[in-house]
Amino acid sequence: MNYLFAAFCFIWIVLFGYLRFLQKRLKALQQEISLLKEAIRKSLPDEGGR
Amino acid sequence: MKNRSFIWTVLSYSLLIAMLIDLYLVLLVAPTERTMGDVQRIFYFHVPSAWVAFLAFFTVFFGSVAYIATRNVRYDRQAIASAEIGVAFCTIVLVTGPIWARPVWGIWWTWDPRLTSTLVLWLIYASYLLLRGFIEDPGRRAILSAVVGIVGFVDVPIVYMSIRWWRTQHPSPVFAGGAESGLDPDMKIVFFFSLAVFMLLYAVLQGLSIQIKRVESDVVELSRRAAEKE
Amino acid sequence: MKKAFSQFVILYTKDIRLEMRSKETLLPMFVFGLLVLTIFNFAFDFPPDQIMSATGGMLWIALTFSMTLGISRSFGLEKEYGSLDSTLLAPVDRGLIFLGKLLSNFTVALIQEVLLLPFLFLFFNIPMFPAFPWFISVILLGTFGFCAVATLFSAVTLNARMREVMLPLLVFPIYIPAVIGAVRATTSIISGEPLAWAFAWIRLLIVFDIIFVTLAYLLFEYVLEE
Repeated sequence: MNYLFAAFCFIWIVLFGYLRFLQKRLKALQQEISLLKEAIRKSLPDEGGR
Repeated sequence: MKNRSFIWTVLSYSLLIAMLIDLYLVLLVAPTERTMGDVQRIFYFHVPSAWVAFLAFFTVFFGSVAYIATRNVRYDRQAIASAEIGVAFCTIVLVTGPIWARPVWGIWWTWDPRLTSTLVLWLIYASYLLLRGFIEDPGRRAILSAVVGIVGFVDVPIVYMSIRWWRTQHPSPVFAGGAESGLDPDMKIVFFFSLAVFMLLYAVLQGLSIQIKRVESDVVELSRRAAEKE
Repeated sequence: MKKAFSQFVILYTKDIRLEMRSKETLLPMFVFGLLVLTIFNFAFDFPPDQIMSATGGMLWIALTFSMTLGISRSFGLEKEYGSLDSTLLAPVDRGLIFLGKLLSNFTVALIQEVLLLPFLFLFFNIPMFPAFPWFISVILLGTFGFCAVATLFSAVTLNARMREVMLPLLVFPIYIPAVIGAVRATTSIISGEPLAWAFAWIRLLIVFDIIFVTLAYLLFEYVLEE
C-alpha cells in the first residue's frame, strides 16, 4: 500500500513539475512582452502611447 | 480563433473530470489483484505512461522528419514539445516501475530487455533536450535536433533487439512478465479508460506547450525587430 | 562517379595529412586509451582465470572513450584552422565530406588500436587464440560503426556550446546496441567459445554499421548547411 502511495505521489510530482515549468516560461514571456510594450511606448510618444 | 479557445476550455475541463473519475476507478472500482494486492493498481498508471512516452517519441521522430522535409517551424515545435513530455512520462515509467517491482519481484531493478530499453530511450531523449539547450540559433537548433531526433528513433528497435539477444544468453533471475495476459474484464475497462485519460493528458500538454513555444518565438522575433529599429 | 571518387580521395588525404603532420589527435587518443587500461587494472583486480570474461568490456570502454576524445576534435580542429569554411565553399557533395571525414577518423582510430591492442594482451596476459582474424573483424566493425555515429554527431555539436560534453552524451546511447554486440563477440572469441555465438553478434554489428553509415550519409547535408 505504501508503494502504491509512493508511485502516485511521484506521478503527481512529475505532472505538476511539468506544469510549473510551462508556467515559468509563460511568466518570462509575459515579462518580455511588457518590456516590449514599454519600449514601443517610449519610441512612439506622439502617437498616443500605442 | 474564438472557437478554438472554446474547444480548449472544454478539453481541459473534461480532462480534469476524467482524471478524477480515473482516480476513483483505479483506487476503488478496479478489482484487487489476487497475488500482488493493491500494489498492482500502479499498473493503471505505469502502462499508460509508457504508451504516452512511446507515442511522444514517435511524434518527435515524425516532427523531425517533417521539419527537414518542409522547414516549417510548426513541426519543430511539435518535436520539442513531445520530447519534453516524452521524457517526463518516461521518468514516470522508470520510477513507478521499480516501486511496483520491489514488493512484487523483491528487487528494485533488473536488466530485463524492456526496462533496459526504456532506460536507454530516456538517455537518448534526455541528451536530445540537453543539446537543444546548448544551441542558440533557432534555425540551427531546429535542424540539428531534427537530425538527432531521427537517428535516436531509428536506434530504438536496434537497442531493443540487441538487449533481448543479450539477455536471452544470460537469463535474468526474475521472470519479468507483464500483467496484460489474461486481464480481468473489469480491469480491462479501467485500464482502457486510464489509457484514454493519459492520451488526453498528453494531447492537452502538447497543445499547451506548443502554444507557449509559438508565443515565445513571436516575442523573440518582435524584440529582434525592436532592437533593429533602435 | 569517377569525379566523386577523386573528390573523396582529395578530402580524405587532406584530413589525413592534417592529422599526420601534427599527430594532435592520435597521440592523446593512444595515451588516454593506455591510461584507461591501466586504471582498469587497479579497478578490478581479477584473478587470472576470470580475466577473460572481462577483457571485452575493458577493451571496448578504452576504445570508445579514447575515440570520443579524438573525434570530438575532428571538426573543431578544422574550424580553428579555418579550412572548414573553404571546404564547405567548394562545390562538393556534403555526403562526400562526411565519408572523407569518417574514413580519416577511422584510419586514425585504427592506427591507435594497432598501438593499443598489444598492451591489452600484455597487461592482462591473454594468450594467442586461433580465431584471431575474427577478433580483428569485430574490432574493425565496432570501430567503423562508432566512427560513423561520432563523426555525424561531432558535426552536429560543432555549433553547440559545451560541445566536448555533448558529443559523448549523444553518441553513447546510440552506440549501446553496437557496444553490446562488440563486447559479447570479443569476449566470446577471446575465451574460445564456439564461433557461432560470435557470428550472431558480428551480424548485429554489420547491420548497425550499414544502417548508421547510410543514415549519417543522408542526414549530413542538413547538418553542415549554412
